[in-house]
Amino acid sequence: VTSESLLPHLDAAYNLARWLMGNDADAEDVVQEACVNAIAAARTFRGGDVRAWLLTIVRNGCYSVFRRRRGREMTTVDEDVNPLVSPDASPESLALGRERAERVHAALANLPVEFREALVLREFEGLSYKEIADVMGVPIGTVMSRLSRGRTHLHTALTAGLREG
Amino acid sequence: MMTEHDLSRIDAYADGALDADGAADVERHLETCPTCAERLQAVRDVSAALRSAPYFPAPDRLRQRMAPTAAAALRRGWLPWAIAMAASLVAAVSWLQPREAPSHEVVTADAVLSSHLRSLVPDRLVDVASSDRNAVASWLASRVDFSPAVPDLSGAGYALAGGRLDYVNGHTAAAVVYRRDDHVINVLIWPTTNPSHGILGREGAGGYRFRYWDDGGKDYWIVSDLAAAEFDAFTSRLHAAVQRGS
Repeated sequence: VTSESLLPHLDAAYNLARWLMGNDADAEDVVQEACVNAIAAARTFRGGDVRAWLLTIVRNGCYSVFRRRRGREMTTVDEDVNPLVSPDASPESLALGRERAERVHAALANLPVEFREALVLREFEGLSYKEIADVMGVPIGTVMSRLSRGRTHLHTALTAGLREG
Repeated sequence: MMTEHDLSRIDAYADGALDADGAADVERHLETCPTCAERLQAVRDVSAALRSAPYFPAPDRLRQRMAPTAAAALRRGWLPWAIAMAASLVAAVSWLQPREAPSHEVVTADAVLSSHLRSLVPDRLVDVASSDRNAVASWLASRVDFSPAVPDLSGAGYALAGGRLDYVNGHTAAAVVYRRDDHVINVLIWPTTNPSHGILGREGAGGYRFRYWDDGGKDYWIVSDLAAAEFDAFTSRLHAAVQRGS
């Protein structure tokens, strides 16, 4: 593992960190530290998918920040998202598209972190259940249940939003 | 056979995570179970909705810091970071080899951290307390046999607190001390004994950050517990100011 072999996975690493941490500064810190740790720990890499391995290190980095700021992990709130959508927003399709994107952003950002990470890994990165289980360090059954419950929460949040809108 | 309303199994089906037999089983069940069919639609709706959620690609800043070639870095003015990354990787790998003697940088980093921690003891931070760079520079220059640079970085929010004499890893060192909010930044300077012409980036235990470079004649070690972004901003400005000779 070298910095060159990590570069193609930097976006995946950053996207996961950004969704878990909720802001750019923390995400950058976590990813930079993860890359250094990944290369430092290269000898423990047993082959397989470099991306899943890097994501594991990024995820662990996020959780160690959460532990340092004890109690915040369940209430990580995305600082850059505005969940309040003006009720009299322009009906133009562009505005509706943005409104919808903001609503989805807010709904995912407000999910408990263990559901959020499972969904980001599945829906954004297309990781298999086995890979997600390895990254999160939990059994596949737990991955299935977190994905399922996460989707239920999201679906509820999004349909409630639509009814209100 | 599929049990009634096993929702996570519907999700697994939608995710393509079931084998052929499992998928066929779910498909048979879906034909007769409106609840599970509704669930499948919900899963697909959520997936579709998430396509409009933002994907956060790595900022260029971060990518450049990871740039594998110095040439690419040089074009963007990121050479120091490329060197920092390369140096920290070398250092990081060397730390993994416990039987090997620690590198010069690791030994020095430990000594620099000790100096920093000593300086945080009340009344030990500075021998000369002044925000006047000329006063601090001349006080230090009269006590060491080199001329330490003391840039004024107050415009960027890093207030000069003063200077002190210190002893680091066998060298008499000039310490230039800056403050940012509650954070102390120690800049330790001594004549180079081990030229490497690089910058070493390393986050040590307890959240302390280091940067190091030598300018051909003097070693500069910067240590602080500032957040990464502020620490990087400080060291970049300090490096640039020292290069300019201001």
